[in-house]
Amino acid sequence: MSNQTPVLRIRGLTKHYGGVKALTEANFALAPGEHAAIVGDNGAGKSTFVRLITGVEQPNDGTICIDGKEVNFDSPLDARDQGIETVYQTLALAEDLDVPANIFLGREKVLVNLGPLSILNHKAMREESVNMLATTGVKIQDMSETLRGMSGGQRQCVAIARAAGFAKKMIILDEPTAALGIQETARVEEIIKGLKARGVPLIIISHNLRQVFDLADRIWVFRQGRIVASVLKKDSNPEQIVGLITGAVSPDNVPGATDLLTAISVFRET
Amino acid sequence: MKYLTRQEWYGALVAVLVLGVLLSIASPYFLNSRNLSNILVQASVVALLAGGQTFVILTGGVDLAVGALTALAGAMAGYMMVKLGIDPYLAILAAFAIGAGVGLFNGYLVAFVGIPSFIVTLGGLTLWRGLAFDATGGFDMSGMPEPFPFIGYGELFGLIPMPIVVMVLFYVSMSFVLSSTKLGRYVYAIGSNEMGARQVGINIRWYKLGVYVVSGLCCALAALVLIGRMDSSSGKMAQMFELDAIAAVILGGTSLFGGRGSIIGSLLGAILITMIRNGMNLLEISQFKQMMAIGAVVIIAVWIDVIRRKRLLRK
Repeated sequence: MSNQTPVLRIRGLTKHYGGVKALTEANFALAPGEHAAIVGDNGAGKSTFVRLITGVEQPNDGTICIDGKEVNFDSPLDARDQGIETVYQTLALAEDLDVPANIFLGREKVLVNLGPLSILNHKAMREESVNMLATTGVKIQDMSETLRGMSGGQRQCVAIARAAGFAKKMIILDEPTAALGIQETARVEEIIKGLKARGVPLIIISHNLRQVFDLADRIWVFRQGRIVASVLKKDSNPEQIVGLITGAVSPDNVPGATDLLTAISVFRET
Repeated sequence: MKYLTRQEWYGALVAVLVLGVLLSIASPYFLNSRNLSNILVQASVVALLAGGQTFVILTGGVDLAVGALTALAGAMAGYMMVKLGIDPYLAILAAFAIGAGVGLFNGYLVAFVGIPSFIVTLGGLTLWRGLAFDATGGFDMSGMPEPFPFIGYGELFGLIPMPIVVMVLFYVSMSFVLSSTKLGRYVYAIGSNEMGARQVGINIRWYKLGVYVVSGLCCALAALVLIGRMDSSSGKMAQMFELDAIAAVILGGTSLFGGRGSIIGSLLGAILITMIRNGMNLLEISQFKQMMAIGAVVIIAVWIDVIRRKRLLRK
């Protein structure tokens, strides 16, 4: 990682709600093509972190850099325009619309631009949706069916394909399989592995350590509003991660766990 | 065929056909071109209101004030033309301005202030009708200048009554708006998943406001056709039309919960309601029983919608 400019680099990110310190001095980096997992107990600051880097909320302090350039997100749309696509747990899909309508929801292709009465280009959106789904490896039998008739796994796949199709820099997946069964989870994981093969950088928030070790290159551990450790999957194991999450294992006793955190801090001061 | 049965308006189409067959058997007067054309003419005003109502209901709201707003726009336009001698085309513009203005008012309160549409338009139901009476001194106006006799009783190519022409043109353009413009798409998106629509960056407040303006403009159009038909205007006009309009939308298969439905269904629903009325008239069923029948039909239609929704959620 040291000789590549990270896609995403975060220094000293801090968010306090009154006296509640939701996130303090978080340092983070995502290398090109890297898949990173964010783990931590409930209330450890994961959600706050994600809300800050997707523009849902604004930090009290700290900087966010994309490809080495500092950015500020005023809104989720802003973050999206600058290349960060997020798949929320709630998926942000309209069940009563079909697949192409959902993929292009909020950024429709138009034939004639007339403001709210802009005329939609159904054909172009359909064709591009077919391409996006094919690239991401998502199989949908009937594109004109509404999502209401589809399983949770299929919906999740549509949401991921949408994010992958539009992401200029990276994708953030918030608990992508939390509501899915075993088979559907496996399908979604295949799709994520496909993104890895294509070199799409990705951050996944997950409680499922089996999944984290299956999908991620690097694991970032959140604890009590701080990022306490960053370890490569190949140098770690699930017991160690559990220890870091609960505090049973001190990050100082894990070789290299704090290297990246301090390296970024040092970089900040220079 | 699968395409057909999958449509939300399929049930309404079947109902129209079945009722048509039953009425043809029950009454010798039903199945002739004069009566059928009459049904469409009578359906036109409710159909126009139902068209605007469809937009509102698809977003998960409801507009109870359409009858009152129709009365306001119509009474004001009539008053301007007959009492004040204002040019009819200016009066038509004024009617649309009133429709759009009240629509903006409703939409602002619903979308920006966050008052439930039910409350805003329930208040509007008496507010706008009261204003219609007050502004016109409570007097009826009659003897509308051209083009109103033409709108009410003219015939295109000496064949098709103008209210039917207006209704068809209206439905063709509205179904295009709903299926092929951003507004139409966002109406469905907001009704399906309002939070999600916001997350993908749709400015849901402005689009929600927009549907009430659409509904208001439809009220103005309906008012113009109605005063053409009656050759008069007053604050009393379009009494209880909101009930028929909402019933038409629901009978047409559009869900009261928003997100699901079609504008064609609302046209079929308006025709269905008018057919029920027409049939009961032909069979000499009393007005009182007719009132009961329409009310029952509305309840049954919503009942079917609730059952259908439960089934969809279980899937």
